[in-house]
Amino acid sequence: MTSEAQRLGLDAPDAEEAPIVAAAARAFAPLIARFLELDLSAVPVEPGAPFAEAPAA
Amino acid sequence: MSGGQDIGLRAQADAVRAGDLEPAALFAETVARIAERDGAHRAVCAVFDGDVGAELAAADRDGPLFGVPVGVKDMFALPWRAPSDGVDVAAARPGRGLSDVAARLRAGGALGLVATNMHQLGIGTTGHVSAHGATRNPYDRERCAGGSSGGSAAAVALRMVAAAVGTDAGGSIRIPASYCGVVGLKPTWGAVPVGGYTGAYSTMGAIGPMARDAGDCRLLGEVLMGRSLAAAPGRGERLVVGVPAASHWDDVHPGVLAACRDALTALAADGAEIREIALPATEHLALAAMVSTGTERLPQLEAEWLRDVFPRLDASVRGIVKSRFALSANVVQRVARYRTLLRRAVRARFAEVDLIAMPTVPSPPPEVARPRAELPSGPASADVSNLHHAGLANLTGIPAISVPCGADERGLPVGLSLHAAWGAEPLLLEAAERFERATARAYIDKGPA
Repeated sequence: MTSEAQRLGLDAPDAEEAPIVAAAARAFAPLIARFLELDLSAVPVEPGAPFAEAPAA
Repeated sequence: MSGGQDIGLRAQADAVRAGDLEPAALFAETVARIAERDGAHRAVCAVFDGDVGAELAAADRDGPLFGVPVGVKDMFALPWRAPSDGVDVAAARPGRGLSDVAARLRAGGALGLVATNMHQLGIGTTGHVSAHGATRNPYDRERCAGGSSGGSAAAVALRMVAAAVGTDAGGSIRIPASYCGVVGLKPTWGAVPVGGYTGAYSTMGAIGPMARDAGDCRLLGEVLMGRSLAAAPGRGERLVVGVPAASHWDDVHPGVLAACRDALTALAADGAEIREIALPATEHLALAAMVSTGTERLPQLEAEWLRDVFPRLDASVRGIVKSRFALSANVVQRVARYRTLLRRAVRARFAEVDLIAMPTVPSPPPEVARPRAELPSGPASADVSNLHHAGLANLTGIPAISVPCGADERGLPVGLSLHAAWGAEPLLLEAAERFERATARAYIDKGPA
């Protein structure tokens, strides 16, 4: 676990959780690898982003 | 008058207003219907058992829904119940109280006296993980009702309530609406106030109505949003519907695809222009939605909650929460930029089209025992494939509605999603009603056997 997670008191994944964490890591790895190839350098920061259009409730 | 459970929300409200239906009797019918039908479906996790007269006295008699019971997803503080978030009510945060949604229901005259089941913490699109039991599909009990607002969708489909409140941070209104054959509206982000809502931290989530048809969704939506959702006068008859064919109509189960194509044909026959459009970088929608929803929750994990609630979670949910700590700051920040990219692209598309249409989900409701999507490319994670479709509205904040549009070869419901620009809920509801009329309400009034 990360230091933040440990500081919050979360233990390393137990026997029940470990397969879920491993499966999530397997599923995320190729998605993240492709995502890191996406060129976002030209995307500007917009004032009020991401919800400048949202109406007040 | 009896049989109030078998009529829609508007008809119930009209009957109460006309004096043909007594609110206390209607609520007694609701309780009896839940006792008769909920059983293994687990759509409902609690029903008010206190003084209904006092609840009626607290509701605005002049409200459009006076005396009508509605379901409320178990994420809102109610005067009679603390939200469980699908966990354990004894450990829930916040406690009982008058959430903003509960206050709006009272101001609208509605009785929020039925708490509906949900996928635990809202972390899942199948609805099969909850301390209150898996919510099962009204059309096939071996299949999922969807999530995370599966209880709200199933309760409406099973005619236990005429309408219910849901929430949608990753398709959680639209996906169960599609799975259960009801209408679900995810409003624009920020359209409904979030006090007393367990998901109030989210830039992805929206609170919205689920009902049998678009008209009933409008009625409950107006109460929740506190404004008219009537169609703008003078609007042209010819809707332009954009279809992102290459990204959201390509890898779709044949039964779902056929029903949604038929829906486009019906819209075209009603005068709509169907136009193919492209959206950028759509292959990252599911990842971005999962990263956003997963990491926005992390600041919520304070010590007391981790001590009291976290150990009560299903192992699958605990594992998902822990896995989100492994995401890098780079990925999280790139997702923020990706959302801006999407938002700019969507804004440009809505200069060309009125609506964007796609199958709400790419595959029929999965089996509870094996919740996987069936796609032409092979079996896939239901959550990932569902978020590929649903994520666009959450990541950009635009409103979207899922309308029943047919059934697959097994008779399982199929939904078509329509998206519109920020604040254009009236247009979505108008389009949904036009579709219902164009198809003679064939997919609205049938209901499960």
